[in-house]
Amino acid sequence: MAPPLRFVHTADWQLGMTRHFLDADAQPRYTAARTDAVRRTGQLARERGAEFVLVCGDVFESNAVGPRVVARALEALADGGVPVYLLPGNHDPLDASSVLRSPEVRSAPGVHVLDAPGPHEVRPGVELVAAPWTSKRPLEDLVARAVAGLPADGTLRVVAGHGAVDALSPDRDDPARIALAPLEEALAAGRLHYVALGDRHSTTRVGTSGAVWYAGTPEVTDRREVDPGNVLVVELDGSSPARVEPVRVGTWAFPLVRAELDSDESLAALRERLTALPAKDRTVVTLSLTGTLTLAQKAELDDLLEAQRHLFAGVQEWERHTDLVVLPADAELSDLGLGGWADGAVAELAELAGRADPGGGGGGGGGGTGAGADPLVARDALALLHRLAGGGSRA
Amino acid sequence: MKVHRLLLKDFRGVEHRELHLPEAGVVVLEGANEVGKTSVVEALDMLLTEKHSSRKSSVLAVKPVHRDAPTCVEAELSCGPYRFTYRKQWHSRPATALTVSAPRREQLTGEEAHARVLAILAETLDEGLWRALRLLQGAPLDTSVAGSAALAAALDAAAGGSSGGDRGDGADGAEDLLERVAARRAEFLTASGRPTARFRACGEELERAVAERDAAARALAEVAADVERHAALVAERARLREHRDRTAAEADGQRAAVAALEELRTRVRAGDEVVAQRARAAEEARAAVERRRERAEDAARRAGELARQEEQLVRLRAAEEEAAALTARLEEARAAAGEDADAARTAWSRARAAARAAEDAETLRRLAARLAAHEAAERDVAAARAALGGLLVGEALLRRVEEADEAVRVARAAAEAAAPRVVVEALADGRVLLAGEVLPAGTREATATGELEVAVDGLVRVRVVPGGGARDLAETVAGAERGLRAVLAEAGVADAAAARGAAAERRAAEGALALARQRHAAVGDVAQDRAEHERLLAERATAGEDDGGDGDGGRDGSAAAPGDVGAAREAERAARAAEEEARGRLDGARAAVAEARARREGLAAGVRGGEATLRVVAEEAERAAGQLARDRDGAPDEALAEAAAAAAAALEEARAQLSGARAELDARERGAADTLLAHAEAVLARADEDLRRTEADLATLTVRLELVGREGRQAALDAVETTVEALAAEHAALARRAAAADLLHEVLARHRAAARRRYVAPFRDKLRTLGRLVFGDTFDVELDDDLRVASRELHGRTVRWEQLSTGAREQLAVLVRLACASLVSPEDGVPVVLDDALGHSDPERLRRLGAVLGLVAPPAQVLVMAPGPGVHSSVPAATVVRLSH
Repeated sequence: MAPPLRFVHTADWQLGMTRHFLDADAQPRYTAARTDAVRRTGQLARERGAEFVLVCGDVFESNAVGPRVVARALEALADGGVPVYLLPGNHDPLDASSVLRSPEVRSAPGVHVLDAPGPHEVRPGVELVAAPWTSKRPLEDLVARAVAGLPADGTLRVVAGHGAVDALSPDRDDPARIALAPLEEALAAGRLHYVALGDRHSTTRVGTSGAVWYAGTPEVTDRREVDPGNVLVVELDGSSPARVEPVRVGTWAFPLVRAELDSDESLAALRERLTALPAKDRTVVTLSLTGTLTLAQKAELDDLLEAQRHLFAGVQEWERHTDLVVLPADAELSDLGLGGWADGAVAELAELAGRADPGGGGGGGGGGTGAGADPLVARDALALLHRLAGGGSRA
Repeated sequence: MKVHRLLLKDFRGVEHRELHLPEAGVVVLEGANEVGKTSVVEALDMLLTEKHSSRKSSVLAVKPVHRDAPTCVEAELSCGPYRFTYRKQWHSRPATALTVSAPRREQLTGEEAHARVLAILAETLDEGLWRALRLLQGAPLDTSVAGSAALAAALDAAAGGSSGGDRGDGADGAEDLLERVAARRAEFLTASGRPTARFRACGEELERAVAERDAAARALAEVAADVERHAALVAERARLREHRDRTAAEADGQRAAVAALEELRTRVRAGDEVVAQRARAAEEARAAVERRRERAEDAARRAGELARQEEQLVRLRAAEEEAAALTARLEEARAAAGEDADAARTAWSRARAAARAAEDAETLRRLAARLAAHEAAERDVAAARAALGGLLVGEALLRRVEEADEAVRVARAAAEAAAPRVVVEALADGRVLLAGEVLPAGTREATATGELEVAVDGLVRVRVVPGGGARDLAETVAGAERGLRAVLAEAGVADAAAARGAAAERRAAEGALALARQRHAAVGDVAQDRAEHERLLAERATAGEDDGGDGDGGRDGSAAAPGDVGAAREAERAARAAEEEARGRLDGARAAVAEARARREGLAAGVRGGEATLRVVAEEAERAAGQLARDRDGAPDEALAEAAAAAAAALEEARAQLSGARAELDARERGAADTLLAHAEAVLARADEDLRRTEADLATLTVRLELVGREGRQAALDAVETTVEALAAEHAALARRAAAADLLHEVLARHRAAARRRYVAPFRDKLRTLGRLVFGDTFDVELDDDLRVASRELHGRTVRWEQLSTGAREQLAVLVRLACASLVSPEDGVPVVLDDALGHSDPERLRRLGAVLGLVAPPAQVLVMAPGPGVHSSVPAATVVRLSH
């Protein structure tokens, strides 16, 4: 029986990824943070006495990443002093343009590319069973092929795979889905001992064996990720179940903030929630705002968001999930004290603005020729009117 | 706003002036030019708008020219609910002081005071109206008062508008708002609704970025395509390698077959060579045999030739000896013939001499005969001549006789012709006489030239007598007959016939003479003959002397007969023939000798030649025999024959082998191994080429992918994508703001225009009312939406504003302002200022305007500045302030 094995399981580093919603200030910091996550992973591996770091695919965002990304990644990899095994995934498949084939990666000390399907001996009694991607569209379950025919001979085997597991993926037409059941059988039979997966950016335990895991991305890449920012420290001894410990290495967050806004109180609550978010310069807030605001409230919200934009690495509105209707309160426009013909214009705009929401009755008034205008434009026009008429400053 | 009090100190040329104005009504500031009427309005404006610290040129310009004193303006104003005293000092020790007395007391100084007043004014003063209701000296005669919110409110109220007319500041706000909205809109859109440069630039930048993004995406897609192609090429390479290996194996098999074939060909070529060699050897051996045979034959031939030559030489020698003997014999015969010839010649010589002697004798005889004949002929001639001399009738005389005879006959004929013809037929012989002539029986004719008598014997006589003519004719006849007789007499003859006979006789005598002469001539000249005769006689005499003893009778005398000559000639001929014969024999003997000699000479030469030839032939024969003997010593004839046979056998053998190999080759050639190999190699070359090209493509692609790998196309795409996103967001935001501003502007402007259209009616009513006071009852005006006067109608004639006289325009401008002032509610009202505005109006119009002024104010304050009494003289209630320096 081989001595217990400890290693770090990670995946989906997606180095070289660009987030378009990040501005010129945030993008370089984010890029640096992803490299730092790699560096921290290496340090963690050293601290925990891991024998190696296994990266299950998508080390790079693309095979066409720039040389700077590769150079920095390799530098960060070397930092930990622990051997690193890189599995080609769907983003960086081992095709002709493969970045993992490049001389820079090949010659990097301590870096091994799992470029052939099947077992790779790490040390006597320990094997990595690799299922590398060689193209962007494999036509079969690569993992099933890589593990085929392996015996239960006491060798500790860690499968390195990448892609969707059938149990989690709804896409039945994808021929490359990884079948979970045979893997669990093999685990139960002692032919395999751990299945390290990549592709899912959230840290996820798959199935019931406790030995099939998606490590998730070490640094968040998308607001939809449930539990990103971790790497897994895995310990195997071949007899007891795998011990898997998620360790946080990520420093960025892409939180989604949903709020129903319909009153000054709800606005205040939103303000508090945003204020309470930590590490704002490494946080990209996605807002999903719904409700109805008065012109003054909308102006207040705009002021609030404008102020927060300076604090956060990014504040974006999830347009698909944002439905904020702005309607002038009855007194709001009359309070502007425009009088005369201006009142008629305001009434017309209010009527236009209220169209999208028949429930929120705007002021009646004479319909004008602007009847064809977009209610959203009408709302903007009202807000502009409110602002230019000095309504905001008067409030 | 109302002005209650205004104090100017050291403002332009005004050192100190304080005006107290009534709450309402017309105030006339009357004064000469440059007395500072306009400064009053300027000072109020400056107080309200310029800070005491202002260094603007307009502020500096009011500083007195000749005094170094601060400018100070103080005003007591009421504005809405506010009433305040406001003072400012500029230039030195600047200061501001505000004391508000209502609605609650406030006291402020400096900036605060200034700000407070601005706030009060903003709240209560209709700025637009304040500017609109003044008509300043030298300013354009504009009639627009539409900027006024107070007026708008008033008109709104007058038009029955929905908003309360009691909120005078509201309309002002709306106008301001519209301006701000227009300014906001102008940030994005031009007046015609096109994007502004900034907005457009953003759009263009976005387009550029999108294009860049698309290019980057394409560049990345190229990589993807290359990757796919790479994978396809790798698969293709594997397939090609497999194909190539298979093809190579096939080619190897074909190559072995071809090698075997080549070996066979080599064998055939070698066989060809052997056959050729052996054929040459056989030919040589056969030639050697042939040569030997020829040499032997040659030697034999030469030996035979030698024998023949020897034999011939023997024969030649014998013939030569024989010829020598013959020659000797012939020479003897020639000598004999020579003697014979000499004898014959001597004989012929004697015969010839004899013949000549005979001949000479003969000649003498002949000559003698001739001489005799000659003498006879001469005698005959003489006789003939003698005969002729007796005969007279010659030819000429005969002719005369003939002619005379003829004449007689002619005359007789003529006489007969004229005489009657008598035809007498005698019926019996002898019985009828005619002129005495008995006539035989038969018919006879006669002519009766004279008397003619016909008588029948015994029975009848008939005389026929001619007539007179006949006698003439008879005379003629008689004349002719006399002529005839004369001639006959001359000739000595009787009649013509006798004349003719005599003539014939003479002719015969003449013929005889001619004949004799002819004979004489025929004998010819005999002188030569005589000489010859004498010579011959002399010669004979000589010869007779010489010839004594010689026995030759031939020449002995003239007595020799002619037969002798012939015999002598015969003898001579015979002697000559004998001599010729002897000579001919001698010649024949000589020729025979020469021939025999030549023959002998020829034979001798033949002998010599034969001897020489014999030597040569003998030598050659010896040499040939020697060579042959030597050859045979080296290789006997049998050996040569054997060698030839052996070579022929070897050749046959080689030929047999070659034909075997060739048959095999032919059989194999039909298998077309070369073609198959060529095909296999072509296929292989093609496969190699395909493979090579695929490898090259792969290499190219790999290199390209490597290079591309270093380009970081993803990063490039990401970067430009980020730019696109940012620009798109910016552009969308701009578009959204532009749309909002545009909509807001459009709605506001539309509503304002609608409102203005509503305001036009009451304003026009007011203006018309006031205007009729000035222009009369036919006055009317048209206004545009901005409440500007568009045209004036008077006495049914419409004149556009621009075409009105200056006077009419200034009157209308004043009326517009007064109409405003009378429409605006007193709280909103501002003073109407008319500064020297009526310089072009005639007294009547001024008077009527004065009435309008009085009508309008109160409740408004109207400040009229005039250089002298004019308009105000017709405003009874006007307060007049006279200004002076």
